[in-house]
Amino acid sequence: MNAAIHTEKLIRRFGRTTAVDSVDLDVPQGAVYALVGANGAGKTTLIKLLMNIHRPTSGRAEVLGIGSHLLAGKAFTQIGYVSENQEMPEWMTVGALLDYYRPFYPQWDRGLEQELVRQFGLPLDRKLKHLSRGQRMKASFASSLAYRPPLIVLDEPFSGLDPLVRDELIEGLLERATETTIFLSSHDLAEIESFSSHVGFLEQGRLLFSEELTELTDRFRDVTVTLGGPSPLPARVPSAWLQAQASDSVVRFVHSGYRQHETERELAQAFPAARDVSFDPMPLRAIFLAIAKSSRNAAPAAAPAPEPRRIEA
Amino acid sequence: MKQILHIFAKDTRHLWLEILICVGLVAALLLTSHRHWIAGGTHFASDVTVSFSPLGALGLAPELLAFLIPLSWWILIAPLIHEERLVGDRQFWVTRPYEWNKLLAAKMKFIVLFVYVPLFAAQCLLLARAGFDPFSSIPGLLYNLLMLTGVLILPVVTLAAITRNFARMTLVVLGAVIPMVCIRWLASAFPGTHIPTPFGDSLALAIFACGCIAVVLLQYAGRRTRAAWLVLVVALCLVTTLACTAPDQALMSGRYPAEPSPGIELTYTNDPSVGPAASVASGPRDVVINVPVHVSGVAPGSMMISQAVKVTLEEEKGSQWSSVWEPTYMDKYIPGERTARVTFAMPRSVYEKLKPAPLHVHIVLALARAQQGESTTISLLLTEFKIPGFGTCTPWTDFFKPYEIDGIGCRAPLRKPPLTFVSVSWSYDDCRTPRPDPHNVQGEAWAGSLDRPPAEFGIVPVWSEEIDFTNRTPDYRFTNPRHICPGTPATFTRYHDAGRTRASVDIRGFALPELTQGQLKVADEP
Repeated sequence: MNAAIHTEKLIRRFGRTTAVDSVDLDVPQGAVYALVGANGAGKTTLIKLLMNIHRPTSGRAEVLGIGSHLLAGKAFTQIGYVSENQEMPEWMTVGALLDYYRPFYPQWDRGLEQELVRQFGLPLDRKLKHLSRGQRMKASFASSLAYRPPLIVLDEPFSGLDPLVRDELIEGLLERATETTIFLSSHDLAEIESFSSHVGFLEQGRLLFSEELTELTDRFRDVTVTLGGPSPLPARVPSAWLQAQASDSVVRFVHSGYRQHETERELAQAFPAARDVSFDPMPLRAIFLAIAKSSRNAAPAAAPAPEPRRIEA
Repeated sequence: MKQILHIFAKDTRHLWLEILICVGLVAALLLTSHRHWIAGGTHFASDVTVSFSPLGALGLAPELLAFLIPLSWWILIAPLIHEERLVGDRQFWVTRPYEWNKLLAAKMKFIVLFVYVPLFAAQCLLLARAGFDPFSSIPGLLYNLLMLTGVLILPVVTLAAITRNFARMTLVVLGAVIPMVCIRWLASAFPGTHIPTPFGDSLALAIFACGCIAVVLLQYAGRRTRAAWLVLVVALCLVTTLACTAPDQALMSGRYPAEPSPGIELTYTNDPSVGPAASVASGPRDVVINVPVHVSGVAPGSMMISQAVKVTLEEEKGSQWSSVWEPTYMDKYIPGERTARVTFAMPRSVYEKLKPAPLHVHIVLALARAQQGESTTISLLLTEFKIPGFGTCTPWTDFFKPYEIDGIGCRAPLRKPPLTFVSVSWSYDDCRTPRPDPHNVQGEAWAGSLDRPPAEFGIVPVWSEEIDFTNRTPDYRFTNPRHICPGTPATFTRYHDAGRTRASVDIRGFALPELTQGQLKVADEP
C-alpha cells in the first residue's frame, strides 16, 4: 500500500441528500493533491469522512493504511489537519496553543516551530480570539506543520485570505512538500494550479476525475474547427466533446480526451471539409468550468470523461 | 498519564475562576454551617437577628449555600466538558492525538479534585465541628457522594456531553422540566404510586445512572450523539414506566409477610360515635372512607407502625373492588388498647355502585414492627448534652427567660437517628419557682426514623431537627404555655426495626357511609 489516502465506494448521506457518492480515490504518497469542486460539491464532507469526523454511510476509506473509522488518538500524530472553519481554544494565546499541542507529538520539532512562528510573523502573546482570520490560519498551520506530519490535510485553507497571507501559507506549505503528502480542497483553481501535482474534481458528491495535473492539462484542449461553410454538429457528438457549439463556419468544443494523432484523425472524419483545426491548451480554471457546466447541463448520471482515471503512483 | 495531566492542567488554567467559586462556596458552607448549631442557644435572639444583622444572615447561609453549591458545580462541569465538546464536527481536538479514555480520565480527575475532594473535606470538618467522629462516618460520606454523583454530577456531565455549549445545555435543562412534570403527573395519575417505593426508586435511579454512563461513554468513545440521545430517551422512558407501574406494589406481599401471630389485633368497632365516615378526597372523583378499628395486642416493649393499607370490598351478589396498596399516615400503635382510623380512597363510581348493598370489607395493614431498645434518662441542663445512639442536643432558651428551656434541637451525623421516643415532664409555673404540673402532663415527641439509609442525600452532613413536644399549651389560645425547667428529667427511648408484617380485619355487613350534602356538592362538580 503506497497510497496515503485510499477510498472505495465511499458514500455519505445526510437524510435524502447524498453528500459523497461512491467515491473511489487514491492519493499517492508525496503528492500534492488538490480536490476541487464548487461550493456544496462534497469536498468538506469527504475530508471529514477521511478524518473520522463523520462516519461513512457505506464504503471504506484508509488514511496512511488505517481504516478511517479507526482514526483516533496516536494516529493523528501522523496527520496535520487544517480547516477554514475549525474551532480553536480561543482563550489561549498563540504561544500557549503551541505549548499545549507540543507534548501530544513526540516528533514535535521546536526548531521548525520557531521557524514557522518567525516565517508567519505570529504574535505569541496574543489570544487566538483577538487574531485576524489570516493570523488564525497561520497559527493553525504552524501548529499542524511543526511536528512534520507525513500527511497534511487542508480543507479550504486559503479561502477568504488576502493574497499576501495566501502566498505566505503556500510558501510555508511547499517548503514541507518534499517530506509529506498534502491533500487539500479548494474552489480557487488559480492558487492550486501553481503547486498541485494531482487533482480530483468533485461534482455533486461524485468524483468526476482524479489524475495527475499534467495528464489532465494534456488531455484537455480547446478545439476550434473552421469549415468552408455553415455546418451542423455531427448527429452524435462524442461524449468527450464538451460544450460543443456550431456557429456559421466554426465549430468549437472542449475535448476532454485529447491525444494528438488520434484526435486529429477523429476530427478529420467528423469534419472532412475542415479548413483549419486548432488545439489550444487550457488553464485549469477553464477545464474546471467546462466540466462543471457540461456536467450540470447533462443528465445527472453523465460524466464528461469516459471513466474517472486512477492516478498512477 | 502524561496526557491526562496535560489536559487537566489546561482545564485548571482556563477554569480557575469557576474553581475558585466552587471551592469558595464550599468553604463558606464550612464557615457558616456550624454557627447554625452554636447559635441555637438563644432561640428568640437568633430569630430576630436573622433579619437584621450580618451574623443573623449567616443563619440563612447554609440553606442558600446548599442551593448555590450544586449550581456552582453546574457552571464548573458544563464548561469543563465543553472545553473539548463532543457534539459537532468543528472541534479542534478531534483531529489531534487525544485518546478518549485519557480525555475522560482528565475530566473525571478534575471533577474529583475540585468538586468531590473539597466537599468531602468540608463534610469531614463539619462533622468534626458538630462533635462527631468523621472517620466512623466515612462509609456514609462515600454513600452520600455516590448519591450526589447519581442525582447531580452524572446528569450534568451527561447533558454537557450531548450539548454544544452552555446555552444549549441550559435550554435542554429548561426543556427537561416539561418531561419531568409530565412524569410526575403521569405517575400521580396511576393508582398505587404513592406508597414508598424503595425498589422502584432504586431501580429507576440505577437505570437512569446506567443510561447516563452509557451516554457519556458513547460520546467520549465515538461522539455518537444521536445514539447517545436515543439511549437517554430510552432510559427516561423506562424511568417513566417504572414511576407509573409502581413495581413495589407487587413486592408488598413479600415485604410484609402474613404471620400466624403478627403481634397486633385489629377488630371493627361498632361504636356509633366513632362510626365510619365518608368524605370527598382532593379529586371530586374520589371518595375517602374512614373506618374505625380497635387496635390491641401490641406486646409490651414493641410498637407497630402502619405503612400502607389495602382494602377489598365485596358485595354479597359477587361484585368486588380492591384498592391498590395506599400509604397511611404512619400511625404508631403502642401497647394498650386504642381506636384507630383506617383511611382509604375509592373511585366515586365504585362508591355509588357499592353503596346500596351491605359489603364484606377486608382491610389489610402493612406494618413495620419496632422493638424498644435502650432508654436514656438525663436531667436537662441549659448546656449541650449527648445521648448515646441518638445524637447531640442543644436546649433552646427564650431571650427574655434564659432560665427556662424553650425547646430542644438535636443533631446526628449524616442521617436521622434511630426512631426515638422522647418524653419530658412539663412544668406549669415559671422556672424560677419550679412546681411540677399538678396533672403531671408529659411532653412527648418522636424523632428519627426506622428506615435509615447510610446517609441522607444532601450537602450538609449533619441532620438537625427541633424536637416538638406535645401538650405544650393547655388550650388552643396558647395562653399559659408550659415550660421545661432545667433539671427536668428527659427520657430518650430508642426503637429498632424488628421486621415487617401485616394484619387484617374483616367486616361483614358494612354499609358505606353517606356523603354529607356539602361534600356531595363538591363531588358533583365536573
